[in-house]
Amino acid sequence: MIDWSVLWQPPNGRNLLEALLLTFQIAAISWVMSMALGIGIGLMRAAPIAVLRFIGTVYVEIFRNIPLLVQLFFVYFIFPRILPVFARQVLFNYGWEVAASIITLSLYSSAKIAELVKSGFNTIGPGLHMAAASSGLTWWQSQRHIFLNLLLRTITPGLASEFVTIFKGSSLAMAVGVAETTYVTRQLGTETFQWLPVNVYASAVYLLCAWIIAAAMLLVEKRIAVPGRIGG
Amino acid sequence: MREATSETHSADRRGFLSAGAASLATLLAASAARADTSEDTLDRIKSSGVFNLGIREAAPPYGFKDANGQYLGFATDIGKAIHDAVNKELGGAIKLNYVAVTSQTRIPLLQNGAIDLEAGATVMTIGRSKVVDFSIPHFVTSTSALVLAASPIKDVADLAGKRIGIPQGGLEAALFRSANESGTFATAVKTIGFPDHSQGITALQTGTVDVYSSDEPILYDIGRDRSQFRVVPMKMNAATQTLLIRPGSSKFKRIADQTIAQLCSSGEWEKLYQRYFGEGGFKMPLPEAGKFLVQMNSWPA
Amino acid sequence: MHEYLSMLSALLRYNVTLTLLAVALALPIACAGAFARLSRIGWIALAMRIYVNTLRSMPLVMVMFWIYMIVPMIGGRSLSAYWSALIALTCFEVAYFTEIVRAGVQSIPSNQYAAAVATGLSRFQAARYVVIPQALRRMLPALLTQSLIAFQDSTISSIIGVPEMLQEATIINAREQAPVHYYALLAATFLVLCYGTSLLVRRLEQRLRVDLRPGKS
Repeated sequence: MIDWSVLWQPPNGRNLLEALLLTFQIAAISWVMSMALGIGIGLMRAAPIAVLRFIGTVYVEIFRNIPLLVQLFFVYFIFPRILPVFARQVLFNYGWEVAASIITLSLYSSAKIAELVKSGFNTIGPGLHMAAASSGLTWWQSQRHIFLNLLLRTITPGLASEFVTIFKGSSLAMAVGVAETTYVTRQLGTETFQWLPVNVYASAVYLLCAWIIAAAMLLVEKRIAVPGRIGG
Repeated sequence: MREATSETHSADRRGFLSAGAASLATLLAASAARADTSEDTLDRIKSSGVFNLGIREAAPPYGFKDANGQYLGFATDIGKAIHDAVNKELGGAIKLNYVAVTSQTRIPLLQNGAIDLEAGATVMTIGRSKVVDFSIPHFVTSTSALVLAASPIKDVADLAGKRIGIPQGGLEAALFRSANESGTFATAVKTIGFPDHSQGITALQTGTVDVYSSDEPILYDIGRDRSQFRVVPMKMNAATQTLLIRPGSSKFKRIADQTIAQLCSSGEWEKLYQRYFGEGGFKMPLPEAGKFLVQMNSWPA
Repeated sequence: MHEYLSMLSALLRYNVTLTLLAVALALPIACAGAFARLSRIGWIALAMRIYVNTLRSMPLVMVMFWIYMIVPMIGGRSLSAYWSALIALTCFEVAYFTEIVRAGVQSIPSNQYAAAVATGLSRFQAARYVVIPQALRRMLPALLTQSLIAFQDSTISSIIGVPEMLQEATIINAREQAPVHYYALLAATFLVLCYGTSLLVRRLEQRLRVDLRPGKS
């Protein structure tokens, strides 16, 4: 019958916790990297130089329109073939499965974040651009001192929802053998046949994280909301 | 926009919802009722007149559907032979009903009575023996390794220190883990689990893994292109396959066992093997263990 | 070339049909779901909110595993990978579509609905003939975009064994001793299809917006 204890019996309990840790690590690192990349690309998209805008657009459209799983396969299977053999071995010996998942998630989400940044730009309004220019700041200076701050506060809800998406996307790493939460729960289900407990556990993990992120975002939003604009 | 709810509207809704709840309850009750399986399977078949045969429909060559929608396969045909034997025993008029199962659902469906026999590719394990009964083994395979044709790997010793792709949720994980622990390989091997064979083969082709390891027949099937792939037998284990039977069905088990023994001693088993695995299939030579199995199952009268 | 055609046919047979069927099933359910979400009856609205929030927080892989496992346990027969993927994708999209429909319906001023009821239409008729058509025009771009996402998500069904495009690419490689450029072809196909459709959606969005000037419907 239904036996919930499979979730904490050794060594299952430990495996599940390690998998949970791995899920968090993948999501967190991907989020940081995709933010950095995304803001950069988003700025490129809004830059006054046409070439930069074009590169930004190409980047965004590539990573938005190709499914995440296909991108993962590209990065994981095909990228090493471009490298020389010894570099390939280094990759493989140091956890290429996890690295490829993080890289893929970062690239995919950075495109979404770049879009958020661009739409944030449009929201802030050309008036502000002109005011900054007329007070003598260069484009780059006005970015750093005025816009980025305002921008980040405007797009916070979008960023939070992107974090949830990254979290969900980390589950796809199981397709390349990463022992994260979805992988390990499936493994456990096959071994013990206790499918209901393991699926409930995995679902609870993702649900809890989504709720925690949403709750955290609400708290943060209250503090940093831009007055006069809807918080997001 | 907020709906102004009137009495009639909410009454409709309540009616609909309680009907839905009632049907869900009936469904659950029905599936529970079928779980009353304290009787011998043979008696159950006799009283219902139907033999529910659980077969695989997407696991060639053990069980699959052909272009016309017919259920075929090595294990499926053995299941059909057992139906014939049951039919003879119970005086004819027992209908054969195919029920498709997967590796996830085979045991639950047997336990709740949706199927009376599972004829697929189920390996005998101690864990499974605790919940179901086994027939005498009808097949035996072992885990082997698939490499690219140009690979320098020729036998088990060459696997040392290599990256090995395995299917998620199979026996291979435990097999390599214990091999690493007992020092079978000069350097420990690293295993990477993929959710489906297609990802594992991609990994092999792109060099992401050096070896893909799974059941030998599966490797022969996938690696049909002999100019691209080569199978390296590992002979590290034997996976004995059996048909699954509900516990407490000794009369049914007797018929199943006798049928399998009959197939082995009459040469019919070899014909089936050649049709699905050998000349008619993907040209996998009959392994030693297979020959022994046929001998062991050929009981004298 | 011949192999590319067989990959395209796998795409049509599986990914496209999965997406079209899931969207066709999910849309009407989502319309009902949106009204449930806005219903005055507390527990119905709550149940729908829970459904939507739960499904939108879970990865699609998990939903597929749930359906693959749960349905046989309740129904007593095994479900093929394709049908599991279809049901899972449908349930998943219902959650997203419900939110889109809800936002669309809420954007229609409530006096439209009141006026329709005042002319003698029943609540159901008012919804069906007055509110929903207007709301649909407003949510069409969002619905199309979400359908595109569903199309991309259909590739996830390869994880539970549906022999769709991703798997076909592998089978071709195994058969033809080809380097893995079929994956590149696959990626390019998605790029062309999805980017092209998203351009069309953007054009559609602009056309629809033009019609909603004040003074027009």
